Amino acid sequence: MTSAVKRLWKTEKNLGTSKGIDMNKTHSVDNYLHKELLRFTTAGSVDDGKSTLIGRMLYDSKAIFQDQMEALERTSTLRGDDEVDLALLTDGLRAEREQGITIDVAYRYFSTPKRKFIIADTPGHVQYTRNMITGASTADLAIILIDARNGVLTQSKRHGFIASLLGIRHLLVAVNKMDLVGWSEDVYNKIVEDYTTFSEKLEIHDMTFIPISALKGDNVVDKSKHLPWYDGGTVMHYLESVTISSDRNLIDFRFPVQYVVRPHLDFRGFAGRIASGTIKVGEEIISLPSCTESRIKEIIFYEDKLEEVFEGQSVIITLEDEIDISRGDMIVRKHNVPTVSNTFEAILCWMDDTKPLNTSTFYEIQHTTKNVQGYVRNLRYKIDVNTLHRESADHLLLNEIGKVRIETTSPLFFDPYTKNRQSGSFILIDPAANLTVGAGMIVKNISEIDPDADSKIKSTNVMWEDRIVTREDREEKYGQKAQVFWFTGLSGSGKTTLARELEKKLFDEGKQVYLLDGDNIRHGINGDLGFTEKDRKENIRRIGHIAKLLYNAGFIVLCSFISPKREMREFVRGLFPEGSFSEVFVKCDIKRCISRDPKGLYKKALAGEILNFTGITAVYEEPEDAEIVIDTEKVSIQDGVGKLGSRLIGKQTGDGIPE
Amino acid sequence: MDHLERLEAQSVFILREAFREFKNLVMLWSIGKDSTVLLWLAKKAFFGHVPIPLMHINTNYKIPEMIEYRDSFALKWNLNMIYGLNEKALREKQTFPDGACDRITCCRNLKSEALKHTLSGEWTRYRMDHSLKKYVVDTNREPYTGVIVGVRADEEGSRSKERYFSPRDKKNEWDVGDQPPEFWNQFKTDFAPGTHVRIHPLLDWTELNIWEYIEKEKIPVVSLYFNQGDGKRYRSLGCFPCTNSIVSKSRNVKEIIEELKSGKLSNIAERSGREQDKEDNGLETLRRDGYM
Repeated sequence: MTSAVKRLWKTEKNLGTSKGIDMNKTHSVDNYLHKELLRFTTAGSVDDGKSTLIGRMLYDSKAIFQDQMEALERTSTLRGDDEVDLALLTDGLRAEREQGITIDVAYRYFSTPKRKFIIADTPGHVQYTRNMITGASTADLAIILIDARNGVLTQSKRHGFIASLLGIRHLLVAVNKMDLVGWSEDVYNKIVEDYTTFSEKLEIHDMTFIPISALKGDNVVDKSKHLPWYDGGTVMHYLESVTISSDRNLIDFRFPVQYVVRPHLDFRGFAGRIASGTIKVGEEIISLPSCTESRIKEIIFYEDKLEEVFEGQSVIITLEDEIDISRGDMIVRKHNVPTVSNTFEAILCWMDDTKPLNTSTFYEIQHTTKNVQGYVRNLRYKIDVNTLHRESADHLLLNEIGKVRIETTSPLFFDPYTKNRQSGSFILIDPAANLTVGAGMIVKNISEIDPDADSKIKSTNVMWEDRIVTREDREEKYGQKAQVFWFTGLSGSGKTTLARELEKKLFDEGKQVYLLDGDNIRHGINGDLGFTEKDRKENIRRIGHIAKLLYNAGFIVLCSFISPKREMREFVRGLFPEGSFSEVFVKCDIKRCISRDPKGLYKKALAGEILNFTGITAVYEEPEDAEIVIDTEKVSIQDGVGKLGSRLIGKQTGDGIPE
Repeated sequence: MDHLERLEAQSVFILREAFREFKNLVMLWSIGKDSTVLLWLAKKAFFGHVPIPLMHINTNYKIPEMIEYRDSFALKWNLNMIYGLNEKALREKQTFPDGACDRITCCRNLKSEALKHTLSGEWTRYRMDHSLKKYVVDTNREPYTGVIVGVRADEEGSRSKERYFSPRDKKNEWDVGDQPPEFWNQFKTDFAPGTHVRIHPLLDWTELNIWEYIEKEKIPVVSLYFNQGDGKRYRSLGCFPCTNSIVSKSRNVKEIIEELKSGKLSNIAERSGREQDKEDNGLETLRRDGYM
């Protein structure tokens, strides 16, 4: 049987009980064309039933040709199987059918009246993780299959983790083979609990669990009769109805130049595909890396001249001025430019089965349409996919994932991957072997390498130049590591007392240290801000950047602010390299704080004289992963300062790898 | 952008990427609907003029109308048209219609072998001379290292495993179990010397997408796809001894689209009229050896 699994519409008489097909809605071409496309990938450990699930989806939504079905039935009868093996439908290669495994990612296409689907059916064996990434790198959604008998395995975790790294926002965890565990609710609940615990640390926006039997067809397209305790929808229902948050960036115009088109002397255009954002004729642009300014003169595709174009379109752009531009350069809007730097940090998935990542080898880095030489300057840590813990490491092996710092021979123009998949991703090529050895995602935290990166994003024509005196030089001179302690806690919890004592202690020891608190900030630089939500945010934003300036000046910076919102504390954390920012949660029960009331503020707040007072009329969001917690009800100020001091000394001698 | 526009933009990007990165690039044109869409996309990608030579592997068993269609458009669109064939097998009648071998061997002889040696330049290439309006022996024998092919992942099992840029080794073979990873839209175009790369700009298109695009763009396709009044048409085109027509009343593109969407063809795979596919693993075996 070699004929294709080709997706076509079925006649009404074949509809059966399938939810998927409703012929009445499908007749106009327009309707068909404008239907939303969902790209998803299946993942999970080997034998969890990925191919069977896809086969079942195709089969139950009546999407298999009769001749294929007959051939399948014959094969299954010949092999003495009780039931038709639906995995044979998607495993397109002989070796796959013979061994009953999936070797390489296969793409399947099908539609229902509600959606079009492109499925990347990916292999489950560990050695094929790179194939799994191939399938997942363009997906909107991932289905992770878990064999109910085996529970949550390393591969189930690995794939969930990779999906979250790749920016897949929706995860469907299908607990399969429920028939083999007697349709047990307890088994299902245990898996849901285990996987939820694991995935709390992942960046997944939306996670859904469904108990299924792909083999028997329960809860795939048709609702199961064996799971009365489950009142959710089926897999197909979920796929058809889930609202997909787009991974497309429609704001930041990035046009990596593919090549220069010169059909004759009077024409000079730049071919490429718009990686993100939109652009119109007449808009002001600059070209990177030259920083030359011009305007869009024409946007052309074949015989059409276009006024405005969008992310994804392949066009030719001409400019008002003669500018020297070549492949790998990037045209961007004048007031919205990416980071330009030859150093960045990235999450790297290692793909080479012959050699580990080597920090002294030159690699070729392919990013947008640019190829440059570069090397992995250091491996900051690798990630244990089972626990998501960071481990120090000096190499990465096949399928291992780590955070690296990369330096290139000429600058790249990039955005963080979380903001822009196109300009935030790259591949690493071993030029000697001509192999793709790594897939990289640039992380948002780039300030360590490029202190002015944030300002560069908004101010054009300000190219960052290497300083002659670096932070590292200052640190060496002061004999300390620059770092930030961010004290957060309720009013009256003892933050400022602790911070002041610590400042005194460090100063006496000869450290360069400075404390930022309400007194020196609110009265001066932030004197124009009030206490509205917006002003509170701006207050913290400015404090964060002031702390960053001091940090770059080599200081130990102490910041003491209630900072009740987790989001704002995370923002500040994002300004600093990992390991150099410590959140200090100064813990104290609200009753105790009220009884202390050093400034008499609680009294006023309780009397209704102060609105939005944290702890009384406004919420304080306790830190979840603070580096240091000091409970001032249990620990004396001296002991608290001692604890902080020891934390600092540890870092002073560390090698920069976060714990 | 709608789905067809996205598919078009992706294909154009890949065509341009191939054109920019491969010095010796060629595009296979089987005269079928898919590679004709590919040719159309190349016209659009490069301002109306196709800068890439087109290659047809002739078996001498192609339906004559296909050859007429090929040459008329080669002249009309000023294409750099090349064809090659297995002259020895044809001379010695080592073919299935001659009763000398089975279908798979015949495909291997007339198509895979002819493709391999025409690409490498070992066998004679015939090139359209536009001033003489006929084919002459091509003096260029340089091997082609990039080969653009119009295969689609939804056609059959082994094609669903392809990459956009998919390497073939020195023997023209495809190691499907060990393919390079391909992430996002980062297409690695540099491969080891001595290998060639198959480039697949249509990988994400379905049969229906192809016909919808043909309708949208009004692309001329060979009339064998349409019912000429006898209630039959071809759904997939190959050599006449091994290609059957299907029962269908569709007389034009619109009717084919309706037919595909109505479910009338849903019991039949697209390539069911292609006999070589019916041999056990026929197409996969052929494709591992270098068939398109």
